[in-house]
Amino acid sequence: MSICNKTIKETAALLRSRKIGAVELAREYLKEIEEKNPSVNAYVTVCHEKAVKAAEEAQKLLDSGEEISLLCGIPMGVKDNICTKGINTTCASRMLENYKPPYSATVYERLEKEGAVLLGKLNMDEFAMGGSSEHTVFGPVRNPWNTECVAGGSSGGSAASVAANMTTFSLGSDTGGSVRQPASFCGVVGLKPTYGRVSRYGLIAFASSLDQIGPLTRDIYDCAIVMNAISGYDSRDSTSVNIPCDDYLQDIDAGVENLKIGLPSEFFDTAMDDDVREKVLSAVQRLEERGAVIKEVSLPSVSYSVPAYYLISSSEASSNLARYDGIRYGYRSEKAENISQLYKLSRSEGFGREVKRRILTGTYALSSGYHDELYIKALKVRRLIADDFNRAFENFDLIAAPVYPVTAFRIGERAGDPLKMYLGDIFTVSANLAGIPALSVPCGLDKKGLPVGLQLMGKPFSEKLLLRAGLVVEQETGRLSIPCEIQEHI
Amino acid sequence: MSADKKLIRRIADLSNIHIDDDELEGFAGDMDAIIGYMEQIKNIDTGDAKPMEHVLPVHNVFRDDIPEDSFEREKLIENAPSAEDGCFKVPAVVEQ
Repeated sequence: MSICNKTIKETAALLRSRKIGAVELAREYLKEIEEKNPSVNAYVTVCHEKAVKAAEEAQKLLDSGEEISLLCGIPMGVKDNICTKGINTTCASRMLENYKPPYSATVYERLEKEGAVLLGKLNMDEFAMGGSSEHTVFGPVRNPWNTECVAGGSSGGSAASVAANMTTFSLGSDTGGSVRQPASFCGVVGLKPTYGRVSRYGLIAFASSLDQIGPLTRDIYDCAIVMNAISGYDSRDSTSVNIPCDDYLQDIDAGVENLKIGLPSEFFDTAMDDDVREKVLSAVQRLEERGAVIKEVSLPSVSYSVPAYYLISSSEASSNLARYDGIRYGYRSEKAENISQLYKLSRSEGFGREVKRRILTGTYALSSGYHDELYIKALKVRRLIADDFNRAFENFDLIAAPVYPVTAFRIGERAGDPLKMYLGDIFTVSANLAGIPALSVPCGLDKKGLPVGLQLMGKPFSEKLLLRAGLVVEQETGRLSIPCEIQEHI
Repeated sequence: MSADKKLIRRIADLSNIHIDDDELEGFAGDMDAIIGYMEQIKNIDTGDAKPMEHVLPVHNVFRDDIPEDSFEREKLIENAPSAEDGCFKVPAVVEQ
């Protein structure tokens, strides 16, 4: 049995009892990546030498007998929009194909400091814009459960690499569901923390008021371990919140007795696959059997969350991506003869079609004559959505919902219809608009054998409670892992 | 408002993105569907709701003015697509 299917907790125990060494572990994973990456396409950069070197350092720490982090020697993968000093960070874009950041993101620095071992950088939708990891200069990520299907997005590589045993855990980023939806499609746990809980320093910006970095892991316990490492105040991120962090492992098994969980009628009235509805409601029923109190709740404004989200995120993107001018870093067109052409041609050749669509949408919403009726109006709707959640949390501890209306769809199936792709984000975008934490936890397989995720949302800074409830779902529905016969053929 | 080729040209210009003539039609079609859908937001009654730019009260963050190392100049220049003598190189900005 491969060592590469273990959780962080299990692997940490093996490292401590010397059943395996950190270097041997890293090599096992690198071998696994070599075998599977040609069919999954989760990694865009593999750090062979650096990983072995980091593992040697981790082994020294393990040998030192000092008190060390559970993450010491544990392999990880990092989404390719999170800066890693001296290691290509491309955003899966031609624009940044050769970009080597001169600094590291805070999250990566923290994990490195704890001894986690970077295996490589993970494929994604270009600049994190998309829900299928098909919009990438490196070619689509394939879902390890069925390689004809998408892995979800935008953190598709982050989810697929965990599911296919090509890393123990990974980091993704979530602007409108980009951690939760691929986690759901690939049968792993994914958490979008409260806005401001995890530093965004070194995360290449898409929509700054919505972006958050989050972990993707094999189980809930691992998610808590990674959250303990990456959460907390960072003076280098001006939106980082300076309040103490919980210990996410403490009381993680306290159960859900008497917790009040709301089911938003607006979400469950939305069209979705029968299998998704059934699995989600059945997980909710299990929570009820374990003592939670389940009631319907109304969030009247969430029906408008998709247009509000796309107007706001595209507006922020059009502003954030204005920095790519082909001068200080990034792609430069060879055809330009003057400065104006240099901007226009570099951006035209460097950005993919979906990124251009978003920039155009955002520029339109911010342009004179439309700013008030589109962008400002979207911000007002955002307020109504946040107010809906605030009201709901006066009476409920958590809100339960699906993550996505369908399970993983086939590669290419939706690529030609951008609006259809956007509409799928109905269940995830409202948590980003309201800034609240949201967890995706696997809750079963559909009839095609593809994973379904349950989404749990909570008040700001209630990650600990989300994980507690997530653990109950995991205990009741079982951790999902890809059957051996599929795993062997990837 | 429907997104025609003229509108796409105008916003592409504002965005500093060149769009080839043969791509215009495709972009106009996509954008027409996207903008058409987004425009439903105009009809929502938001009452006296205040625009919410941020979920947190965003305020200026100050730190003590302590000198510290900055990025290495060479490392920054290494990422530039064109550089000379430690400077970024660009085409002529002023017309002759």
